[in-house]
Amino acid sequence: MADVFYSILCVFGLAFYGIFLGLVFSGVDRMVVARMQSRIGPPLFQPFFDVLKLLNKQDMLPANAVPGIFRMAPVVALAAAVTLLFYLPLGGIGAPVLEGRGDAILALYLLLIPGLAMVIGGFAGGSPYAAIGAQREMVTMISYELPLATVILTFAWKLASLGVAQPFSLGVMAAQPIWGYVGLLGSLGVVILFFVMLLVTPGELGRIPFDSPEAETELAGGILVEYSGRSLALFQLAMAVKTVAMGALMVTLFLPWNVSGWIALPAPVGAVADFLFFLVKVGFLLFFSVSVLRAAMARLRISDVVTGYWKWIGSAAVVGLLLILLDAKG
Amino acid sequence: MKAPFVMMAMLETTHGGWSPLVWLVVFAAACGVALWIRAIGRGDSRTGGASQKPFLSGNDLADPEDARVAASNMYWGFTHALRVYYRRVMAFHSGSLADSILWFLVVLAMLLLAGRVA
Repeated sequence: MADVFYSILCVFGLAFYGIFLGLVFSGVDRMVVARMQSRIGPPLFQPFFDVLKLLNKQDMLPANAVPGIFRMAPVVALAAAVTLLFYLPLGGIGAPVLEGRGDAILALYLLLIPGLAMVIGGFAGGSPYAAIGAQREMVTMISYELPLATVILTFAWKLASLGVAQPFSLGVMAAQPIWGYVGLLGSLGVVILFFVMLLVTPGELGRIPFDSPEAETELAGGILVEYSGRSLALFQLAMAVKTVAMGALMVTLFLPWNVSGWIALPAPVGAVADFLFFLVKVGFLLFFSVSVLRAAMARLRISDVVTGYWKWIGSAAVVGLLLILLDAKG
Repeated sequence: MKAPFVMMAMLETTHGGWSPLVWLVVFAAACGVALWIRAIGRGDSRTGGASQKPFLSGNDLADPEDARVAASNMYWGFTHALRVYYRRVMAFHSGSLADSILWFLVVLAMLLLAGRVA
């Protein structure tokens, strides 16, 4: 009975952990970008108010929509994003809740599901703008998967070459930071992969300059144009949770260190310190990959998104991989 | 303390693995959370009238089929950005079965050679 209670607590606890943190990070992002653009900007908790407002609005069903699919897509998106949190190390928690029950390949697939749900929901909306947005989202997903998969495979290959068991495990990747196993050339490769990951994140989260699926100025919201009320709120929550997941994934791969590893602290204090340090790291990474890019760049055309991810960022990822390979051979 | 569903069967490879049953249980529970949040929200909505029409900047959508993206345009953006590659690759698609078998043999030979070199 205690186990069942623990399971339910885990699901609800992680869901609200992800939602709360994701909305706070979204609020921080909006404040920071406003300051960069010499605006006052909204208050920190504006994303919470936005979601509450949406939950109190009517949930319109377009005349041409496929009702079941249109209604269920936001539910699937949020559920997939929440599920992802179980497989990622989250600060003070250390190892993932489902440590050993899913690896980085599973995390890659789970990252795809919220985007796929948006695509299916967009096509099911029966709107030309939503259909074009869904088509663009699909192309964006194909684009950023190449560099993202290259980063993950490079890390797993490096760990496998060292004879580490279960090199695809995210817990193993967090426990054995790659920086300790590479020389100068390899470190340069890891730095390149780090920047690749920073550029993949806005694509995963549908943020500027990779937000052509929504493109308010040309598609009026694109993929989400027909969504309103609680369905739109669920999509916003899914993106908030996915933001936390992407931040946690970057921390796991590139900055997995904990305060308790450097300073001897009593267990509860160490856990709190590790968790706060984790939040700082996630916030730091999201600041550069989401806020700075959003403030500094304009939206790219969809063909430029593909060119960017496959030609330039993808090539950079391959260069990073090759440098780490050469480092291992040397 | 480990949750009971954590003990379910694994599909393991030499370098990793996952448990589909665990994933299904967690996903179903997460769907429950999402449906609960959805149930908190307002459920009523107007039917009929302009609010149910697809948004098209005030224009009429005469035929719902006009809202669809044609299959040939489904990957536009991707095919446009990589048009040089596609132009060359599509030239290989002659429609002849003999050509396809020849390409299959060439690729198979290359894979075998690569395997031997590695």
